Amino acid sequence: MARGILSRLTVLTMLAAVPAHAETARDMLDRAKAVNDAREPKDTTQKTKMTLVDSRGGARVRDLEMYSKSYGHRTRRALTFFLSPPEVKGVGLLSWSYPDRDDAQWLYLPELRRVRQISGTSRKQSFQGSDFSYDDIELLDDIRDWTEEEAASKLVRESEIVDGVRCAVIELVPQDSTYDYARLLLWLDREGSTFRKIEFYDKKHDSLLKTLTLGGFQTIDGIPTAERVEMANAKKGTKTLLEFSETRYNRGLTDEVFSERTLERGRVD
Amino acid sequence: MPASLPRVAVLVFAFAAPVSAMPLRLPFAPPGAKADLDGKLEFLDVERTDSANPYQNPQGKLRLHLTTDLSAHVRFVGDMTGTAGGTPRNASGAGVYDLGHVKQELSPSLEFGEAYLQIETTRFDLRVGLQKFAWGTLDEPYAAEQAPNDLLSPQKFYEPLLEEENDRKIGVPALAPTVYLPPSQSRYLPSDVRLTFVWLPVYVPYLFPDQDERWYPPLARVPPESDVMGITVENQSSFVNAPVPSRTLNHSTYAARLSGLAAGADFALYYFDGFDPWPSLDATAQGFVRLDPLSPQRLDARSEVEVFPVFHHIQTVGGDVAYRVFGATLRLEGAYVFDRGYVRNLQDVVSSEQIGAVDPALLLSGEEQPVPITLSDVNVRRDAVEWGAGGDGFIGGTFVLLQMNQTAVLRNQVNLLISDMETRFSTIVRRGFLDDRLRAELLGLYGMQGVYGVAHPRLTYAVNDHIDVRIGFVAIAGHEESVVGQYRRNDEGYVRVRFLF
Repeated sequence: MARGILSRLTVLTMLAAVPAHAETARDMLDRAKAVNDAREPKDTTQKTKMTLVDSRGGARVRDLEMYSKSYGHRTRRALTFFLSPPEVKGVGLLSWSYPDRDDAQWLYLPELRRVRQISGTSRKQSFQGSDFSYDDIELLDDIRDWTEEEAASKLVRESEIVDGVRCAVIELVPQDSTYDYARLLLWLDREGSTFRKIEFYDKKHDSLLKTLTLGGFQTIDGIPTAERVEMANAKKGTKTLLEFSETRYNRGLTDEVFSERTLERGRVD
Repeated sequence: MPASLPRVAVLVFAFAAPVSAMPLRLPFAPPGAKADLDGKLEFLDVERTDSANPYQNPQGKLRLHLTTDLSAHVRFVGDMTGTAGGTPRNASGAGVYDLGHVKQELSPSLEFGEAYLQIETTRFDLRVGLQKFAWGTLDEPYAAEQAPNDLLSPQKFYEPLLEEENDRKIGVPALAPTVYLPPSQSRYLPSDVRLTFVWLPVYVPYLFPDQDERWYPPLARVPPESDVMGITVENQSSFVNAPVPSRTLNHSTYAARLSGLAAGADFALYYFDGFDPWPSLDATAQGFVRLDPLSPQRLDARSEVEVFPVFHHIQTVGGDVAYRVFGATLRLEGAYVFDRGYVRNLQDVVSSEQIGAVDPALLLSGEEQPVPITLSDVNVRRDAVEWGAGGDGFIGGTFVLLQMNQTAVLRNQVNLLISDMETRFSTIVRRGFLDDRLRAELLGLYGMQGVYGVAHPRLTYAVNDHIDVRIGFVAIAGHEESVVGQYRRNDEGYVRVRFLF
């Protein structure tokens, strides 16, 4: 199941604020990280509609409710309840994520109100049948923290229009050989200060594997937030659309929200 | 009939589809209350491989589950299941399962699984009403693999291998308060500590199949003939209800669980004091003898054996722990059980029966005369240690669970249905295909003593988010005098179609 998937994607949707002037790719990324770190909310609440579209156009929908809290330095707790489809309705997942060790995860099964500590899934495995692998989620969470040693950056194009917005195109080559990707291309909105698109290229042929597109930006509690995220798999012809709603930041969620107690109750007070 | 199932399924799906509109307005709910209705409609067809074994009717099951948030702190949960067909061979007709009998042959049947009120405050929860419990950390793939500390909800033993855990469990009337301790400020103290008490004011027994059913244990069947003191005795037997413990306060069940998180490990400690939810049987016999009028040297003898459930008061203390290490979750659970009733092989018991004396003068009348039959104890009370250890995790995208359960019956000298040291290994291997639409699973069980095993491969295909189809096969092997091997003629294939809403 998720490693706090939605909370991690939320962080990506908030990547923010860099001024537009002549800079290297590394300058841009470092500035984005600094601004975003400063703006990172302490906690987030939101609902998510996840639509899985297969290669024939058939769609399956999952509705989720997510709570997350940041403890700084890539330490985060997230609580997710599935609202639909019926097979997983009421299922809860609690994740405690750490930068230096495996996540701790608990699964709540509503039929018997049983909470079980569970092991993480394979990094290459798909999240809930979506086009996001757990590896992708971890990668997307890590991008903003990557140093030049962790991922060499290069400014590919200074300006390209995406969704009507002028973006810089940056290439990142992750050094962690466990990732499936040879390189990534990021489209960074230099004026609006947000990521707009990421392309993932595979290792074998350096061909386009997946494309992540962010859109529907709204400023919520002063934080630019994408309300729509799409991951398209070029090889399989499938795509996954995430639509975020009812997003709220800094509600003051207590640590006790992210506990087995809340899981056992099956809802957040 | 099986052939008509798909057509029936389509019709009922069409009928049930409007139910899938989840939010409800309830006339009795206060303004602002939120109600959700969900459930499932399920069809199961089992095909036996041995036609000499009891037939199982196609089964249809409709389950409705209602959750109503009456306020931010009060919730009502109700759950009911209607079932038609299935394992009963000679059902007494339609009816509602009561909470007071072990043998209830109903079809169609209605079962109220849960109906409880949940009151939540910051540091205190209370659940009152009919509810199910699932304590313990070990997996329970089959009815026989109940976790050592999972003793509050009895089970139905009608379909022990195919029925899912929640469907197998029986709701019990209970008062269950939980106290949540404030977060500790010290990292050396456990966190998320909570203490739950459970009071079951009345004992609710398990549900057990009748003798003509597919999953009635063959070892609890009386042999048609036995040789007693050189006389061949023809046996007739029946499985009958026995009164459950009287509904008085001193027959209440009390249980407690203290659980929390320490050093990354989930832990729980348990105490249970009440009637055992596990089946235990006893038997009585009445003999009849008659001198054969054509051959006065010959004595015709027959017996009528009544097998009935017995209910034992037990106490247990136990604990469990779950911890993640090297990418897998390890689980360990154990309980010391005081005074549990263990059943002997009924065929052993009958073969050692003693026939009482009969007045020779009455025999000469040529009429059949009753004689007392003394059976040795059918079940014996023993202390035991029940424990198990397991681990689960992903290996290259495949979920793998391995678990060992062991029952150690202490200070025992008689031959029981289970071995004095019964060790069982179970496994679940699961992998998804086609973007998780198709799930392939292999469930296995292997018992070291008595040597028995179950292999249960199955495939589940999600047609869409509401309908899935499962096909599977259950193969059972082993010594016929072992707990599981006695069912070795119950191999079966099955198809299940499920509509979730």
